[in-house]
Amino acid sequence: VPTRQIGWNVGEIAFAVMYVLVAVQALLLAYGGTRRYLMWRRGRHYGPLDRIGQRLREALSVAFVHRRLIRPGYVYAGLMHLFIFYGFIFLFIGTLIVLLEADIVRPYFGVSFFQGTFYVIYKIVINFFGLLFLIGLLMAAYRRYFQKLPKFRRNLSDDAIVLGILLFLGITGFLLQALRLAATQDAAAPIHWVSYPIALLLGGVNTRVLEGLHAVTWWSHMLANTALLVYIPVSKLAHIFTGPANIFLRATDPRAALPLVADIEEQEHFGVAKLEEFSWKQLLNFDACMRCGRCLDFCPTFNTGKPLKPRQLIVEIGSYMNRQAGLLAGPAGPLIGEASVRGSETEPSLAAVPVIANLIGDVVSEDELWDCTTCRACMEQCPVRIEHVPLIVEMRRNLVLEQSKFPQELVSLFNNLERNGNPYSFPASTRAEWAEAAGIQELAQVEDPASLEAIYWVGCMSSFDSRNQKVATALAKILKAADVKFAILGKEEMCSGDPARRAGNEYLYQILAQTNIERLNQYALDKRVIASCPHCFNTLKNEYPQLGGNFDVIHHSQFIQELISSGRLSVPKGTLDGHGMAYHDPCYLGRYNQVYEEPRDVLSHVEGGFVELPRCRDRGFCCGAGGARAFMEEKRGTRISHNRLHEAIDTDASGVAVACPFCVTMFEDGVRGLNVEETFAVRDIAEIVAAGLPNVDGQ
Amino acid sequence: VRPATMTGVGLEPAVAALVTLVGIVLTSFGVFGHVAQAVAPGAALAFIGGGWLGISLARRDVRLLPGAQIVKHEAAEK
Repeated sequence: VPTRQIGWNVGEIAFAVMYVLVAVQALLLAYGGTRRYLMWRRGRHYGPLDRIGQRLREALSVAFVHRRLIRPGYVYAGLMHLFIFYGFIFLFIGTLIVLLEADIVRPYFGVSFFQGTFYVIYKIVINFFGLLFLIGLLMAAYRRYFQKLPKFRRNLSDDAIVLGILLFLGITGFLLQALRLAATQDAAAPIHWVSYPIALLLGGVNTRVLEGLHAVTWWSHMLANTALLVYIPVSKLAHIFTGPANIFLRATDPRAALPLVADIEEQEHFGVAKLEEFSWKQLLNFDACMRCGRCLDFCPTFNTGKPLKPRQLIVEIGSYMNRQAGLLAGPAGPLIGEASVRGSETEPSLAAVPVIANLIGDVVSEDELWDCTTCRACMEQCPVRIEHVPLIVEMRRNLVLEQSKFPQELVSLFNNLERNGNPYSFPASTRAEWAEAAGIQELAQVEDPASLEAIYWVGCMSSFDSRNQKVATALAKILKAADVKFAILGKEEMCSGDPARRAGNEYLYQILAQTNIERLNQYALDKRVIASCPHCFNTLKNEYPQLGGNFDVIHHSQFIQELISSGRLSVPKGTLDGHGMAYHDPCYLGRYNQVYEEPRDVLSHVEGGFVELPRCRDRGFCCGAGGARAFMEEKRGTRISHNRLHEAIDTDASGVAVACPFCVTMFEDGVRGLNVEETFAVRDIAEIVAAGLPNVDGQ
Repeated sequence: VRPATMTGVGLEPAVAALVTLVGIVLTSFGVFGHVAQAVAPGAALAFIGGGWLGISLARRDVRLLPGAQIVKHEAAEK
């Protein structure tokens, strides 16, 4: 009957030590886990949690099905993790089965199940998952150390230690098996199908030597296993627990809204300048990072050589947090953590951060915080749903509202927003001048507002910027062609507040938002609000409800698509010629609001259709304007818009189609900078559709 | 003795250590005395006691690993 002697070649002392180590492992695991827990609890209140079932389903599906890990572009990395995960789980279960047989079933019931058919299946399965485990680890080592990916240029010792321990455990596991098979001449050796060939190679070695090697391997395997368990709470292996926990705790509703500062007039402190000013969920974020670097793949700042690298930001604050409050303080921490990140001229070593330090300034630089375009590429790609953007905005809030430290360009932005209700120096009274020329009515002039179907929320860019006024005029032409009765707020409209909020000026945002909500409440309660700016669209749709403004907001790409699909608008062929345009997903339309299909559907109705960019949809690349970056100089690294335009130009498209006035502006500047303005067009989809429509009212 | 009472008088780590010790002794007795029935309960006690001891030491801010010490944030952050 196939079976094996449990504890072959293992003496009583070794067994006793093994069980003592159980206590040591439990002690250090619990100690480390509790230290981390206490560290998070220093954060502010977070919650209450809603949708518990949905949260649980998502956390479990990521952990066990690897739903966010295996996705387009990440098949290698996803499978790699899947192999390691299930390899580890099954090897762990295999060990528990041996313990069950040796310490419970045999001693208490006098029977044995660890033999015969069960044993054969057990061995075949365990060999399979052991091999899977090793393959996954070798894939990981190859990816991190041999593929030379830019995102793995700076690795921590922790990454190597984790891989090293796991690889050692996998290899010594098979070696133990092979040494026993060779020494005992086990008749059932072939069922150990992975270690059997190794056992054959060891066939000529003296039995005493094999036993000696087996004993050494057994001790090193057991000690490595102890090291692994003890290492979990002080290393990135903690993500085994913190990853699913972070997914479970993530913000769910609405996913595109920044947290509101309630009762702002009553507040004495704003944003975050100290660790404990983060919520405890935000502190958990820092410990959930496994440093896979997916946050960097579509990050506009990382890919254009700017100081902000989302992973680095999380590692920086996480290392600081652990050093200050937890496990990586003192001499042990830096050795496995931040000290191993070698510094450079532009990226100083984290070890240089003093123990007593300012969170903003010493740990995270102001440049890092102001570089962010809030495009959400990092959050969208993060497998464990670390929420980078709210962390950055919280620190911006502190810089702006408490420390009055922000880029010089934002002074004029804030002043203009306060004085004029728009980011520019144009008086509010001139906001609707473009509309007069286009024959568009302001709501205040409409005799019977009840007869209107929709309100067109123009936004500041399209109201004041001459290039984007063409987009507004084109949209108005479309609405007239489809016989949509609409008007604009005109002089009553103010900036939605998006740039102020993303720049950290929550106070100014709330003033602007409250004013807009009051004015929209006069007119828009039963009407659709069409926004041609995705930033306004996102703010009105997802953030105004936090202040009591609930409106039926729709982006112009969605509305045009509705008009076409309902037959109210027909787009004649011949609107465009050539190869079609490459469609660029605006971040606040796509990633923030999942509007991916409607703009594509609209473009598919024009001649030539559209070209899909390599980086598209949730993997789209920002134009560089979000997060109030449109109002700041791009002083560091290369230009984000140029990076995106090069990609679009390489598709042989005739131009780039967008659905955002900020993208229009960034790309118009970009094509001039690249000297391709004569050959490469920048068009909003409203302009593309309107170009084929007959003129109405003399347009 | 209720845990809250033990925490109050600082006995919790000592009791946890005692449970761990009993577990280790019981397991060792099982291994060396060839009393297999003693191994599982001994290991369970060692595991539970060890975990309990780890939690109670962490909650009391006892330095266990090199350099592991909670620093008051007010002092740590200028």
